[in-house]
Amino acid sequence: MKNGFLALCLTVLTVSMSFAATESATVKSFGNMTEVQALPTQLSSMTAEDLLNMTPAKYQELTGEKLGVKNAIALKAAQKAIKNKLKNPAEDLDKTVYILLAIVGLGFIGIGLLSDWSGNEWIIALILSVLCWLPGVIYSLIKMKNYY
Amino acid sequence: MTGPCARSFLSHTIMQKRLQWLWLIALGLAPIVLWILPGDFFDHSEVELCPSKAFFNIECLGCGMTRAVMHMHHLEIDSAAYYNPGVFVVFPGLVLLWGYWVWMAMGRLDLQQYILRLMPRRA
Repeated sequence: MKNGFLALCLTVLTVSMSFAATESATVKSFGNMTEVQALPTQLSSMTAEDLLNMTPAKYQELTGEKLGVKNAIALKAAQKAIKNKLKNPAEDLDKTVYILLAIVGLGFIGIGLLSDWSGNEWIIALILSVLCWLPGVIYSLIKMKNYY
Repeated sequence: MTGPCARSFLSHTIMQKRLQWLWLIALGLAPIVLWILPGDFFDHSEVELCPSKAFFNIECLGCGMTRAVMHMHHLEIDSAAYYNPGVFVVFPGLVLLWGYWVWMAMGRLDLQQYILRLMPRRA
């Protein structure tokens, strides 16, 4: 009975430690970004999820201190950078290149590269680009939010 | 000028004056209503009004400006800067525009003289 209780405690401890490790790992994984480095220490020690939900009002509730204009702007920049990093599964094509391809009328190449030429979105983009360029540009730019 | 034409003109003038009063009252009430509402009144809206954000997921220069102006109106400067740093340019501009509109509305109602009387006169 005692051994069973000890084993249960150890399991709970191990699980909580591993959970904490993954949580802290998510913060450390963004530590090399300049936007995250510019944050004050109280914010940079948070989990990524907490940081994404943070606002100056919540910060004041948590710490009792005001965030300040400079740190508020830094927080917004860090949140944007982390969101982009999390949302961007394909780093093989830069967003600027994608937009340029879309404007030139080759948006289907961008969509194809980012979707590994699966699905029918790139075919639709190709057809729309052939039909007087502009529909293809609009379609490619609208589909951009799925990848970036 | 007598007769129905004069009556019509008079009623038109009275109507215009009433509208000017309504406009002045609305201008005066607008900042008070915004003060009564909480600073985070627009923060939790789920509606995506900006076409740039809705279609392309790219934030434009005006994205977050309503929330920023609302926070700035409640003197929550760091929150305002968080939502849109451009509020430091837009908010004074809005205050100036509001002041100009109030001044013009008062001018149309011949109320400017009362304000001018309060001003110190040069010897």
